[in-house]
Amino acid sequence: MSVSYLTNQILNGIVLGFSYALVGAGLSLLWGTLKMINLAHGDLYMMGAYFAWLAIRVGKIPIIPGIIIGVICAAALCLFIQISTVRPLVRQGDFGMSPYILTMGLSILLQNTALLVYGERYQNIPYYLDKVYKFFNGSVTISGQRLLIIVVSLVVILFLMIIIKRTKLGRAIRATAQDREFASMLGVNTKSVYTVTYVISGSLAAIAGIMLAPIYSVNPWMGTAVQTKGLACCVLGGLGSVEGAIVGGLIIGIAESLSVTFLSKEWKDVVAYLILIVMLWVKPSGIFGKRGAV
Amino acid sequence: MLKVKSINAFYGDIQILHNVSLEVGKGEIVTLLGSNGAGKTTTIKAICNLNPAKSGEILFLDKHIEKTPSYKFPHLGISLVPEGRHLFPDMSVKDNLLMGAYGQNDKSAINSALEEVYDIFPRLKERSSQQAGTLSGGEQQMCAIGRGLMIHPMLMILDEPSLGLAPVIVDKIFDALKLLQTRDNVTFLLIEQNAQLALECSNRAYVMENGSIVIEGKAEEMLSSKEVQKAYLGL
Repeated sequence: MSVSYLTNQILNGIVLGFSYALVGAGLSLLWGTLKMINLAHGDLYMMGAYFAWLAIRVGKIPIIPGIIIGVICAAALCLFIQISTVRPLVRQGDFGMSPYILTMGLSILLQNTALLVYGERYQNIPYYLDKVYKFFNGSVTISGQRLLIIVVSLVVILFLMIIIKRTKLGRAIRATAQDREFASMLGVNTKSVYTVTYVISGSLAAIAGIMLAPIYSVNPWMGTAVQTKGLACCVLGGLGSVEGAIVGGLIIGIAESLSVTFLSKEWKDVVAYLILIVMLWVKPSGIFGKRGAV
Repeated sequence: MLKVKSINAFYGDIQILHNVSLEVGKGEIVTLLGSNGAGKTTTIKAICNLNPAKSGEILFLDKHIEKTPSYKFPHLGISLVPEGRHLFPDMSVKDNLLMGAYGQNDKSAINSALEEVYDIFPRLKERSSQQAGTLSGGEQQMCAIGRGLMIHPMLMILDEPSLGLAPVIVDKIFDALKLLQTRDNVTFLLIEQNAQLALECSNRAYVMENGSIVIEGKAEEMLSSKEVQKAYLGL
């Protein structure tokens, strides 16, 4: 096995890792603020991919506006879901099991709606950037699409971190996550903070779906595996920590890709979940684990 | 400035406050004394609409505020520094202070308020990028008070600011309150268990027992009153 082959495999792992990171960051953000696990998160990833497919393939809209339309539609869907279903739940206060039941139902609803509307045939989106880039005299090659995934993910994650750490909205999100009652006493409209958080979280999943759609085919069930993997990355990195989800995503992505190289394709999930199990033994709160803050 | 007229408050079906009336005049420091479970915090929660009173009137600057939601209190000019401080533990000291000015958009006003808070509590400036949860108890209390000062409040309500703090730190905090009263004309409604200290720096005081006000009067008179001495000052 050559060094360049290994480098390429690690690079593939990083690409995969960034897509997990985007999905996981959304899940973690949501857990950090609303203390709920969104079991329909993977389906927002799927809906994002379908919106992009609709725009680009069916609507024949050029790629960049098509992607933007996809993200906007997904964000609008999240807004609708939040206001119609999650908000009434938040109003009840301490919600126990209900978010799991709600989001599981939403997941089934979204998958079957996609099945009814778009059919069960797998759909394809052309590569957004159909070129191959070579580095180090051709020893490392990467397709433009994969490079684009890395770049877009990095930009989106950076943007997210700036929003959370540096802006007034970010302070409101963190304050609401850490002490909702007192944040509201200071004038924060915690209801809108929850809505904004849900929309950001879902849009992150949709962006991941849109970016990965050209590599994997678009189908109603594409979100299920991503959902579980994204959650695994969150738990590995520390549920509630956005940085943790990113690190967890990269670890699992690279580990999967390496296990395909050294073992076989069938082993990748085994290795990924093995890392998770070991982590739960060693440090159940995850790498960046703390009191469930953002 | 603040007038509370015979409020009755409940937790569930149990009545906690019975016809509590009190008044805080402009520029005063007024202390609410009483043992644990006397209803001091409940009174404050009723005033701030966190546990609304079932009946009675609450007026701030002669306007009814019984129905004003608690998140509008900063706009009115009322700051609450709650029991247990309620800082955001994983946010930096500076971010905590900035949260105090959440409702404001004027950046230069926010920055000058921040500088003023750092002036009063220089310790907070040293620790501005540290997470609030890692501060010592006294520093946390300073941070909580500082956060309350960010809106230049007319009235500041403090719930047990001395709880669990070393006497030296408590003195520092009370010195700061007196400075704010004399220099910036801030009005204070104070809940304290440390009756001696609270009375020494207050203008007037109320003593609560079983959800009712039992004694009210000038702080200095209370300090010399046999009744208060026996019950609260341990003399």
